[in-house]
Amino acid sequence: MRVILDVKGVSKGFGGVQALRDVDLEVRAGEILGIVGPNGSGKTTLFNLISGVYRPDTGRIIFDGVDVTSLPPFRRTVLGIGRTFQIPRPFKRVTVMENVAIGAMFGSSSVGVEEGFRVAEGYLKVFGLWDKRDRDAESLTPVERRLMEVARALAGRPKLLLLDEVMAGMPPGELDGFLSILREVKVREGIAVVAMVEHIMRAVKDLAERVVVLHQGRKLVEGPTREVFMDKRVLEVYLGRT
Amino acid sequence: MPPFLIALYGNLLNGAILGAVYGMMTMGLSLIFGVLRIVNVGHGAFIMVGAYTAFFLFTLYGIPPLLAVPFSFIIGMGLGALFFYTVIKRLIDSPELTTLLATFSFGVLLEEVAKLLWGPDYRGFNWEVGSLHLPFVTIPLEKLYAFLASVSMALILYIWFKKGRSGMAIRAIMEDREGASCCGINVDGMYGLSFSIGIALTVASGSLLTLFIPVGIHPYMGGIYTLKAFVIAVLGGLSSPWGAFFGGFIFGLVENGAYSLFGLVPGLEPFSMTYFAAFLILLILLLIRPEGLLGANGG
Amino acid sequence: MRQYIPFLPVVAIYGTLFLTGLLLEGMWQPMALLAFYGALGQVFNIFLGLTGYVDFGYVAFLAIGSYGMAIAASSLYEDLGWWIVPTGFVLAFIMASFLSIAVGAIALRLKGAYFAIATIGVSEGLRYLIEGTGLWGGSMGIIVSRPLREAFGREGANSLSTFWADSILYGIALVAAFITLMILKSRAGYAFLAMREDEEAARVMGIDTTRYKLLAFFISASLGGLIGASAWTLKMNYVFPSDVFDIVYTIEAIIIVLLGGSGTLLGPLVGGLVYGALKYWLAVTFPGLQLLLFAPLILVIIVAFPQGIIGILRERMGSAFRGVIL
Repeated sequence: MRVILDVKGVSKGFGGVQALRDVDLEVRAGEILGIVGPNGSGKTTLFNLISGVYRPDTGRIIFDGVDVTSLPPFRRTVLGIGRTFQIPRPFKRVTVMENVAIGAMFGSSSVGVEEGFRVAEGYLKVFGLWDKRDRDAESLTPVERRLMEVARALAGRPKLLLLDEVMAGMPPGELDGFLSILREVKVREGIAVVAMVEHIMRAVKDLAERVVVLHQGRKLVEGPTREVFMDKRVLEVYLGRT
Repeated sequence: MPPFLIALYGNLLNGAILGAVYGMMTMGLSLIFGVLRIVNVGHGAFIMVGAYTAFFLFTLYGIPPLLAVPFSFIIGMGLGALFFYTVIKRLIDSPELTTLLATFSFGVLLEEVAKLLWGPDYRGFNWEVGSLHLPFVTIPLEKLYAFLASVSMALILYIWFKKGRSGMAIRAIMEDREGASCCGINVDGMYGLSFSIGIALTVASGSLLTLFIPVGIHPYMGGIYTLKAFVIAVLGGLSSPWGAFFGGFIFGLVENGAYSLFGLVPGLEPFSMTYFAAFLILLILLLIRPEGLLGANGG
Repeated sequence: MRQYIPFLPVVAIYGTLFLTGLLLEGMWQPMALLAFYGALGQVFNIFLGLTGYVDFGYVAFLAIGSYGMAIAASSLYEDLGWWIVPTGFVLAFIMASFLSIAVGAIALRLKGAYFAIATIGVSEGLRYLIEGTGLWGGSMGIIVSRPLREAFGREGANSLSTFWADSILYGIALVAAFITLMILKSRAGYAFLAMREDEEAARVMGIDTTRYKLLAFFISASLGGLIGASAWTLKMNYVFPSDVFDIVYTIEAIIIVLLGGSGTLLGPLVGGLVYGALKYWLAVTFPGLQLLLFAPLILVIIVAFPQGIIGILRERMGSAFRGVIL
């Protein structure tokens, strides 16, 4: 399958802390890739490098054939990289509807105001937020905020969606619903999803086709989900045996 | 020595002395910005209050300006607490728009009250206690005292910051607000305390400033000091009181040095050009080193 | 057509002011004062209201615009005759936009308080540069009454200063309001909305925040330049640096925008009317004490109604009416 995102040997340090060392990552069009790793393993840094919040110290990032290594975040979004934040960042005093419409207006779809609201309508219905469309986003529950962020990112019609701990804190019932929505949207629109997860291993097993495990800023293991979870090194990292 | 160099040398020495007072004048601004992220645009009005305090204590009771400093400090604590608990407390984390306007309005209020009480006239007084004779220059002793008083105030603040319980709490807030509230620091109380101390330092510096402006005390005297304090605060990194203190020195030297230099160029008006240079420095610094010339932060 | 409905109240209010001034004896100047504050609020709102960035040196754009007009009038009147006025507006526009692009390109990288301090530095620095180097007459300023008399005759110059200068302000206010409406109704309006809430998230959503900020800064500044050219140079016939760089105008603009409702269409107009009327009334009723009374009033407003008059109205109304008042 076609490679949509190619991360080549990126490193990033903050002061004396080396958050990422020489990490390679390939994401294929239309796949769901899980990135797993304990706290401090460099997941969020990797996300911020891909979405453009930071620039890598070394290495290159190729998205859909374009070298985006030094492009500002908004250009990457326009090219088709959508993301959510680890701690949701809705536009708080803006209605839920407008939040998602803004995602549609400025994403890679880049549509006008009316079309933006039309696109938003669809995603709000899919994610069960239609009844709350006229509320300000700050009135949403934490889980609803996460859903709204996913809807906002999807409304921009990304080719690649980066989900940062989007399933954290979701009750099991809602998690199942969310996973099925995500699978459906992914299949319908043919987008690749990179989901970053710290704890909920079940969600990764259910969702991801392939998994990359990060540990202390390096790529520890990469492979099909089943195999990775049987890997001895992964068990060591997660069960604390060293 | 050629006369120009003697003049420059004298100006620089004066600049260093005035610079210490400038530094103290700006520490309060930086403290308040560092802790509350609020720029006090009414800063100069508090300096004016301190200047009047010194003026009246001297002319009515013969109390020398150095001894006016504790009085002004207490008045400043009161004014600061009043302003904090009536207005500022409700505006923490508000957009800049509201805090800038609020501090400006409070400054205007102080100026108008001063004008109502004491009239719009320029006032001043002379407190002379002799001079120190150095090669080529003579330094009036009262200015030297103001220098020493400023340095001592800065030292006291430094010790309180490093060793005092509340000082350490304030430093913790400057570093990390959420973290500080988690470890049991009364953040709101510390906001009030640092705001009041910031204002108190400013008012006290106004009293010392009277020794440098023989007839410059009037209700609207503060405006230019607000602007100078901005430049100084940016020199020191905006949120660092110590940076501000050393920024004051640099500003005092640059101000006096630039004045001498611009005076040599025909066609230039050295007074205005000095301010122009100050604002140019401000802009350049904000763009290349917003963390301040000295790179200091916190404490 | 429906999207132009919010513009009707704006036209109605400025129209009422204009006609009241024209038809009632002695009301022209008070109405013109209100129009000045309305226009000032309207143009400043395009930057401050839309972006949330506080330009604390905004007056510099009015000042540079007033110099544009003064330079055109004083140096070209012999060659151009009455054409000096249109030329002056063009020059005011160009000078204000150049300044805005220069300042915007560098200072807009700063945020919050740092931006506010940088802009105050630009404004004060420019003033001292003019005074210190003697540029454009230095601290003596430029007086244009004689050139205007030569170009327009005594009568013409008089009506220019007492009628046309004010009328042009109404025009600038309407243009600014119309631009605001167009922005609010377009994608750009949503870009500003997102940016005010969370600039970094807005960038991640695909919004080129730098471009939008610069755009708003440029529009707001160049229209501000026209206000300076008209309300100061044409009306007063002189330009002194200590007057035109007075920080008080920046503060007044901030008060007006905040009072009416930041980022709204009608807010700055309502804020301008309330502020102008209040200032006029205080000055007449308590001469000499207006600032003493005004300052605490502002403090009360900031603490009690931070969302402004239009903000409160919009909150009280149901969501169905939100679109009517912008």
